Amino acid sequence: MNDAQLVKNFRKGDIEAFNCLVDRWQQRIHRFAFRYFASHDEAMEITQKTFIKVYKKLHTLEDADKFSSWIYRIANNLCLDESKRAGRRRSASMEALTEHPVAEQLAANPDRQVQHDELGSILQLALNQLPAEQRIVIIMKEYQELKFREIAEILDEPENTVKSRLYYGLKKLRQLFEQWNIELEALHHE
Amino acid sequence: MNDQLARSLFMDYLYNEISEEEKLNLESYLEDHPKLKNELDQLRKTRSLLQKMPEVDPAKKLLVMEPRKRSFSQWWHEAGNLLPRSFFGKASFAVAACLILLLIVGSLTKFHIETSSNGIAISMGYSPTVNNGISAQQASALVKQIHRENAAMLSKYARQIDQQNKEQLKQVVNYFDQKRMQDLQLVDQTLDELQQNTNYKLHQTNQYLGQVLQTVSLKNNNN
Repeated sequence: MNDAQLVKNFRKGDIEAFNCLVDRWQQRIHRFAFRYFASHDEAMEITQKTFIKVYKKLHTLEDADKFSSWIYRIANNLCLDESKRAGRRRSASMEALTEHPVAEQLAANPDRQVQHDELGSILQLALNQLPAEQRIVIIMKEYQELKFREIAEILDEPENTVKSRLYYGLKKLRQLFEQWNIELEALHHE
Repeated sequence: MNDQLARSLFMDYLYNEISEEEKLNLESYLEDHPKLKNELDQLRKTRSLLQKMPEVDPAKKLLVMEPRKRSFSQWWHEAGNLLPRSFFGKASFAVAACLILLLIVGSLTKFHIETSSNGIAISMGYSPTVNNGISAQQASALVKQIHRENAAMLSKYARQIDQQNKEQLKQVVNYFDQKRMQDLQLVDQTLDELQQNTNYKLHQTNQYLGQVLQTVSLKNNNN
């Protein structure tokens, strides 16, 4: 049974259909929010809020086939709202991240090689340095594996804008990796 | 194709959303433009690095719970499932049900059992007067007794106070008597001393006068 059919069943009062949607989408929404905030707690909160909103507003979704982009749009808006709401706190934490010990060590010592367990936090750190609009596009494309068309629909932006944000986001990440002396070839985990 | 157009195809190329024709055109163009090719390679490496990010999964699964709306027949059917199946269970259930029924009937009919030295009295709808306290006569006697005891106690207390006062008064009188005796003795003693003093001085005066007279008479005789 596809998402559209589950949406229709839920509208008829089948609560199990909604649970099935939650089961299908929870992991994706959680990963999306986690990549955005780099925090399990905030990712969980965004995930819960997303499904609460979906539960309350599902009857307003005109085209059940567009459930995918609709739920992403909700999650994305919640992330942006949360980001704005806690703007000061987050910007302070971003400043702290730029002084990340591993990043500092890498910049200071070009011969030092990144350990596998450090890589995740370094990549997340780099991702958090990007402007929200570039970060969201990279998360959607790289980790949610959405098509440009789908991302454009979620963000309600032209496809070329999405591609442009992705291009500049990747370039910015490239600069950061060079700054921290991170090279794919240098990794130990192969 | 130019550099700008080539760059606009980078993302489509990297994420494999490019048509075969555009892909061939781009690759052909990049062969002649190593700087652009290098830029694309750098972006590809960046992508490869991003793919090394470990996946994270939610710690707990969300579940939506909503109170079920049941019809009476569903409710009755589900309630039936709660009844015990074994013989022992059924017997216990029957005994418990009988007891509850008995209690309800007893409560509604005001069932009453009373035991006394004369036997057991069972009644329905009759509510015997329950007198757990004392009668009016007993209460009156008790009050009178309390009054008597209070009066006796007050009288005894007054006598004790009176006796105590008398004793204190007697002590005060004794004290004043003693004081008076002492004062009288003192006055008497003082008067005695005064008398003795006066007598002594009178005696001395007489003695001096005698001597003077004697002296005067001797002088006269000599002349």
